[in-house]
Order: sequence, then C-alpha cells, then structure tokens
Amino acid sequence: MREVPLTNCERNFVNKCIEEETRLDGRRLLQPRPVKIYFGSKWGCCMVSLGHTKAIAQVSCDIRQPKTFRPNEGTIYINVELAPLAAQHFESGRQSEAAILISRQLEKCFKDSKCVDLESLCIVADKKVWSLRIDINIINHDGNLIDCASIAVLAALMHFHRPDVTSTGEEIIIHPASEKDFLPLTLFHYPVCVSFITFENGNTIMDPTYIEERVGVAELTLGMNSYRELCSLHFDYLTKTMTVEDVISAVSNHAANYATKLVQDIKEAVAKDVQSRYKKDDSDTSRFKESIQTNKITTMISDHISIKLQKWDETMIEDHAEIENNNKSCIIKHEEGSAELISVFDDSINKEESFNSTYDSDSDNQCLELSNPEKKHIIIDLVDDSD
Amino acid sequence: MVEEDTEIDCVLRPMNCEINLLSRSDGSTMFMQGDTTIVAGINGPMEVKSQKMAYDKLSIEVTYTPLTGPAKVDDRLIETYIRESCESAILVSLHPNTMICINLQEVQDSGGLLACAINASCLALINSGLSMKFTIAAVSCMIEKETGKIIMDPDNTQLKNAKAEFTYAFDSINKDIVCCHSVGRFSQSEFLASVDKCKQVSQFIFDFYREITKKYANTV
Repeated sequence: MREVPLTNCERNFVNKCIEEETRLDGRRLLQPRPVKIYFGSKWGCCMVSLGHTKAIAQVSCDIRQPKTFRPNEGTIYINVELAPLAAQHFESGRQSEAAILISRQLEKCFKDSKCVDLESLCIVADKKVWSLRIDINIINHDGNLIDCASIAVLAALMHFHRPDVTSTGEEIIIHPASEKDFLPLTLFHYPVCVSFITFENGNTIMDPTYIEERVGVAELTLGMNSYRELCSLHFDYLTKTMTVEDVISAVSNHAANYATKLVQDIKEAVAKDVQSRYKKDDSDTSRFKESIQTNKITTMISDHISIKLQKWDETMIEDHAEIENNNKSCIIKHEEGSAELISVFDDSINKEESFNSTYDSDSDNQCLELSNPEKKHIIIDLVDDSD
Repeated sequence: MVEEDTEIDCVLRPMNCEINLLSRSDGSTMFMQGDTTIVAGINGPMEVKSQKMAYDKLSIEVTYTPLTGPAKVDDRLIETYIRESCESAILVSLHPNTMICINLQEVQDSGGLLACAINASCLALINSGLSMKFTIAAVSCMIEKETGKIIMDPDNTQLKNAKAEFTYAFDSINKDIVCCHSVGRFSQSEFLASVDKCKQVSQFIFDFYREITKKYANTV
C-alpha cells in the first residue's frame, strides 16, 4: 500500500503552528518527547519508546573469521527492519530506501565512531573473532525513527553480555552461563543521535513527529556522545527549492546538552537492570512486563491461573472401551468435523498410517477413521506397546 | 499412565496484555504469556493488489517478523497457521475485494510462541472491530519425557525435557479444534488426553478476552 499523501490543510496547519512556535502535541520547539526503556529477559534485548515511536533492539553474537585487513578485530553488523507493523507503506522482506538510510546513519554513529572496543572481541588473531549483530525492529512509526533506533542500539549494546571463552591453542571453549559469568562489552564512548527538522519559515524543531517530518524542508541528524563530541552528521533537504540558514551551529549546543542528559538516563536505566540481574532481585526492574501499566483501561494483568481440570480418564476410558467394542459409536462420539471427510483406506495404507500414528503430527483422525475391527486392533496394540 | 490420575491441577503462566498501544495500526495488542511476548497489529480492510484480490471474500495477509535476522521457514509456518485460523474466524464474505494485514513482531520467546501469536492476533482482531464468527484461543502443552505427564503452557526450561509438544486452537462456540500443531512422538491416547485438557483450559483464555474487552468497551 502506498503512503497516504499529506493534505494541504494538514500542511498549512502544521506550518502555521510552527510559525507561532506551538506544536501539535504541546511541546516547545526544542523539547524532545519522553524516552522509556524496557529490557527483555535475555542479555542485549530492549524496547525503547520515544513518544509513540517504538523500537526493539536485540544484540546477538557468534564466532566468525575476521576480515583479512583487520585480523585482530571483531565485527559489527547493524540491521534495521521496517516491517508493515511500523507503518502500512513499508513492505516486508525487501530493504527499503528508508531502512538503508537509517542503518547507514547508525553505522556511522556506532561503527565508524569506534565506540565499541572491537579488539577485545578477538579470540585468535586471523582465525576467530566475535561478530556482533544488532537487529532493530521498528514496531510503531511516529516520526524520528533514527533517534529511537539509536537509543535502542546504545541501550542494547550497554546491556549485552557475551559468553566467556578460553582458547587452548587449537581449541576454543565457549563457556555457558552456568560455568563462567558472561562478560559485558567495552564501550569507549556513548553516542546517540539527535534529530532536527527545519520548516519553511526558518524555525527548527527537535524530535519531530511523523506529520512534522513530512512538512519540514530540511532534516539534520547529529550523532553526539556524552563528551559533547560529534560522531556523525547527516543533513538533507527534503524539498528541492528551499535554502535554509545555518542550522547546525544554531542547534549543536542544545543537541550536545540533550545528548549528555540522555546518555546519563540510558546509563542509569541499564545499570539498574544489570545490577538487578547480578543480584537476582526482580523487585524493581523495568522489564517488558513493566511496560504494561496496571491502572490503564486498555491493559490487563493477570496472575498465575491455577486450574483444576476435570477428570479426563473416566469418560475417555469408557470411550476407549467403546472403541474396542463398537467402532460405530466411536465415530459418533469423537466427531470433530473433519472425521467424515476421510474415506476408508485400503489395508496397506492403513497399516502404514497406524504405525505413523505414534509420531505423526497430523494423526488426530486416526481413531476416527477406523471402520473395521481388525485394523482397530492394530492401533490398540500399538498404543499399549508404546505406553 | 495419565489416565490413572484422578484430579490434575495445572497452572497457566500469567497473561498480561495491553490493547491499542500502536498508533499506526487499526487494532493492536501486546500479549504476554509468562515471558513470551508478541506485539500484533491489524490494518484494514483496505485496498488490495489485483493479483491477491478475491471477488467473494476478504483476503488476509500475515507478516511475522522474528527478533533476529530474516524470516525463516518456522516463521513462515507461524504465518500460515495464523492466516488459516483467522480466516476461519473472520466473517470473510462481509468485505469482498479488500484485504487486511495482520502484522506480528516477536518480542521475546520463552516457550509457547505459536499459541501466544495466535492469541495476540485474535485479541488484535477483537480490538480492530472486524466482525468475527467466533474468537479463537490457543493453548500449548507438552508431554514430559520421563513421567509421561501432560504439562499445560510450558516454558523454555520445561520444554527441554519434553517428549512431545502440542499447540491447539479452539473456537469459542463449539470448542472445536481450529488449528493443531505438534512436534515429537506420542501415542494416540496421549494425544486425545492433551486435546481434552487443552479444551478445558481454553475456556480461561476466552474469559481473559472477555474481561479485557469488557474493561475498555464499557467506557468507549
């Protein structure tokens, strides 16, 4: 499905709002949306929501051969998935231009700025290194995907722990969590992306929503770390004719301040979750479960449901008895709709089928299709044997 | 043998859900069964490409995105199961020449992923307001290797010593089986026992649907 075109009404309304320095969601021009981070039960899995924009990141690792020109460094691969869940105009399966643009910006921000200590991921030089893979799935698109994705990547990288290995010359032993504790990654600095959109009238806003992104004329994404250093920069005109004055110098100071504060918040959230895992204390965490608020009207939280089941045995045993005595009654009893559709097979097939019935997944019709007592016996015997 | 047990207690993992959490989907839900988490979103009914158009019914497209890497064969299998079971539940002839998209995102897997995915898509369908013949509830269970006991709604650690694993989906009216998936070896009586147990347990999932829908539909 194609993207729904923006109406002139919407465009004029947003432009007018920005001119009067108000925004649709009541924020000031350079005010970001609130960030929430929730962690999964595995290492390196987190869900980040930036306003309504939501992204899930998962870091995974495996052992590979290093690249020949960097024999003692691990590798990082960043993959951004824009599924139709995020917005209907994204197609599944094929990497869209938007997805490639976001992955490239994240690569610039995290890979090219060398924030991960890749040399510590080396196991045997020129032979075996850890290869990290970061998958980002966007689940709701409400503008500013790049910021949301970068927060998710940073939180996931800081949260991720890899298995410990020992190298004994030729062999490499990967220790499971029960033998040796998993090790966190070493990060030299902590970059995040901060995005801005400039409008026709020259006003620049921070953290644009989906509709603001579509009205704006120029976009700017700065990758900043907590030391106020620039790690990546992306500037692009969204329309052809407009020229905007120097936005970068106008907002860079604000971006650096915000990045410092944001990184601090992410660090705290990650440290809190990692500590609670080390202590095995689940009292005050922010897992996926906590993303569901208890008091909201659209949510529902239930406890363990304990169920006392009715006795299955008596009725069913009777049924079995009936099966043994009288095959016709079993057809009536067990009828599940599909039973009648199956015609009587000839002997050989049926024998084969009945043998399969012990492990074949689709054998729910087995007892129903029997119409002559001889074959019945085959099955019953089998059942008894396997029990 | 299982049949000799007189009374069986079983415990379902806690079910949590949030409805309507995605702003870009017509109906959406985040559904958790224990730690297994799925986010589902529904879009439609909407315009359909001509090659997928069916003149007499609604066509259903399911996309399932795993957490890491591209979709594999198992993920396509989940898509097929969900498409088939939802097609039986939705009143497809009500919206001819249109399609709906059911989009699922795996968030966390700790056992019973297929059951969780089916339940999540059913809740999202309820939330999207499409007319349905009945709702569907999926229940997973396994047979333990040593004892031969049937465990309902197992998690990852329990699944490690499973002889066989089943997932059934039932409709809410006749409690007939809509979908059935099994892995491993089992005998006929074990199979029938597990069907019967899951059928009883499915009632609690239908109750959960009813409760959550009541909670927000009263005030709309």
